[in-house]
Amino acid sequence: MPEITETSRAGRRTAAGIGLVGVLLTAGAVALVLSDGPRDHRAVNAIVHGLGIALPIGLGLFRLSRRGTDRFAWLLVGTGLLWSLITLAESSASVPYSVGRIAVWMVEPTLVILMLAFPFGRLETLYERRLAQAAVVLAATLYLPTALLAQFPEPAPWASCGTSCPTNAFVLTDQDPAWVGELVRPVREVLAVLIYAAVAVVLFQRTRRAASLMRHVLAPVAAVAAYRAGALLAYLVGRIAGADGTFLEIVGWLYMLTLPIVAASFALGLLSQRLFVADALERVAHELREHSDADGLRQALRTALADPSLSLVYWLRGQGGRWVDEAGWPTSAPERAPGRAVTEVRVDGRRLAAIRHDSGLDPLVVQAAGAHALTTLENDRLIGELQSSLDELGRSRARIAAVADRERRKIERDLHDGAQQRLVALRIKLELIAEGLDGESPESAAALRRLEGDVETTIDEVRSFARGIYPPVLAQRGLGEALRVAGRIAPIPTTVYAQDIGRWRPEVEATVYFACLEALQNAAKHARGATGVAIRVVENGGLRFEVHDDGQGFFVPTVLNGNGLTNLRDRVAAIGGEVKVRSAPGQGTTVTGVVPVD
Amino acid sequence: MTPAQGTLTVGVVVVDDQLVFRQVAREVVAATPGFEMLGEAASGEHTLAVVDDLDPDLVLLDVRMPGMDGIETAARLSEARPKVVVVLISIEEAPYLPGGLGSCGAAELLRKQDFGPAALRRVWERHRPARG
Repeated sequence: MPEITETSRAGRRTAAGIGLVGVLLTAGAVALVLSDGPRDHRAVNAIVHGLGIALPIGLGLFRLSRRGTDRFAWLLVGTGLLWSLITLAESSASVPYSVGRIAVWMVEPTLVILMLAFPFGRLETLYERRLAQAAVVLAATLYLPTALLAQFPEPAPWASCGTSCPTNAFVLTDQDPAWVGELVRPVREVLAVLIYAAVAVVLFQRTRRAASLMRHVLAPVAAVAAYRAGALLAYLVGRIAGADGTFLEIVGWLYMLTLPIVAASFALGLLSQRLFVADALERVAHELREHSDADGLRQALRTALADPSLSLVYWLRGQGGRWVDEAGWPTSAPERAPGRAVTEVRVDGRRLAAIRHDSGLDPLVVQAAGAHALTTLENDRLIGELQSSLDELGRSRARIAAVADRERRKIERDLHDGAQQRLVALRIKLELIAEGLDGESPESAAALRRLEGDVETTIDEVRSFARGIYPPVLAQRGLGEALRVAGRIAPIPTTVYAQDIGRWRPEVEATVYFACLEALQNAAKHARGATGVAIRVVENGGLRFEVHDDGQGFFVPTVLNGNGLTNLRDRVAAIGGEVKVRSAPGQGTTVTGVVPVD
Repeated sequence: MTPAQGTLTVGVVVVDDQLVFRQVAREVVAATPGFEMLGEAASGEHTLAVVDDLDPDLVLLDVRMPGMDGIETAARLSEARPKVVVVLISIEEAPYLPGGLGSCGAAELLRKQDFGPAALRRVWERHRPARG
């Protein structure tokens, strides 16, 4: 759709053009009613018709001048333009009158669509689309063809000629077929009322389900839809019952005023939205005075926008850019979901954060609140602190990981250099003594040898324990060798491709090692039918590792939060890397990861 | 150096960064007739110099040492002094040790806790150079 913005010259010309056309149509309509319309209540008639054209076009253009791509505003403008044709039904000449009567039948479905598409200009659900289709089908099958067959029913809400209207210029028959009057009309009138009632029900349900902001906006249109259905019913019943002409005329005007009222509701909705935005911004500013950290920001936005499930992720610019949550943990890019929308927050064109929120909230409001909040923080220099505190969190996690690894290596070394050596020496000395006693005192020698057995068991246990803490070969020879050892002793045939990996910082080597080990152990434990595991490590813009088994695979989402996998992810994330698990039943499992090594 | 008497003693050098094991090895060699501890080294780097100096028949090399580990030392030793019997010693078992065990020229891998007079004799009998 063409965008009309304040700065677009072509846009302004389009707007001016449409505006001019709108003015001409309004003037023309008013003139027609005043000159050629039925004598009674000409002024009121003129006003009703004029409003029906001018208000939708005017309000729609006004909205578009603020925000060029509002779909509903375009719908409004279009409907207003079409509505002008209805005024022709006020003419006393047969042809314009007939054109006007037929135009009504074509505009009615448009109004149904308009009400259902309020306020975003889209038909969201299948039910809404079906209702709109039903209205169109009804008009096309039970209304339009009758223009060729019979006179238009009188009186009608959209023609104030009452019971003395001009003839139908398009009718082909001399006499109205009885079945038109006895069958088609009653059926279509009932269906029309039913469709309008259904529209009202849909709008009421939407209003009820909406968050408080949207409720203010939707309620008036729901009311209009209900009143419209009621008005149509009243008119039809009144016509059948032969009610007083004035009563019918009044109901008719009320019915005709539907379009201007919908346009006015739209404008009111926009106004209340602006008030809400201002209110929300004020609330955000107020909340921020209390809490000015990442946690507080989320709380501030939740309260200000009345969305308790709102969540926030931040965009950190370092290292190519990545998303982190409020605790600084790397996280995936936010995604839409049913009922949830994602709005990016940009300040001065720079992406700062993304907010996940209820899809009923207007994205503009969310963006405004988010930008305001972040700008406030930035003005207070707190956004810089936030970024650096998130960075610092990441670095301190890396430090903790490094310290933890250092501690583990130290423990393993102490065990080896201390307890293990002494145990070994003890056993050797016991054997020396036992050999000395062999000739003189075989029982004592035998007793000593039994003690040797206990010492051996202790040596094995301590050694196994130490290996679990930190494999010696990892510290001595590095990642490649350590993985080859792990592959050799694994209960499942394992191939390791880690040529020329070289040495890296200890926490990097340890993290990748333990990650691969965890993946390997998972494969050995859970991959039924696996014939082998392949481990690959390569340095390519980071240290990349992959562990693949050809087992039965598993459905990732259900298993993903098992302890081992979570630890694996946390460990790798702690030094700035990431891990992905791909698996599907029958396709094996592949754990891939990358760790930055700059 | 071999003494002038009839029986030749086997000269042994032990290499390990751990003092505890070097002491126990001394005790074991002393308790094994026919073997004599010629000297020690505390690192792979010193081994070649010590071996050049003392000319042993048998060198016991611990695998795990900081700097040049036992496997690398064994490789250099076998190249420089092919007549010396090199025995690798480790608390760890073969599968857990780095690669290159089989090709570094060591005669065998001995478990540290199994070291004793019987093991010493057995290893020597198995790998002593054939005498013409």
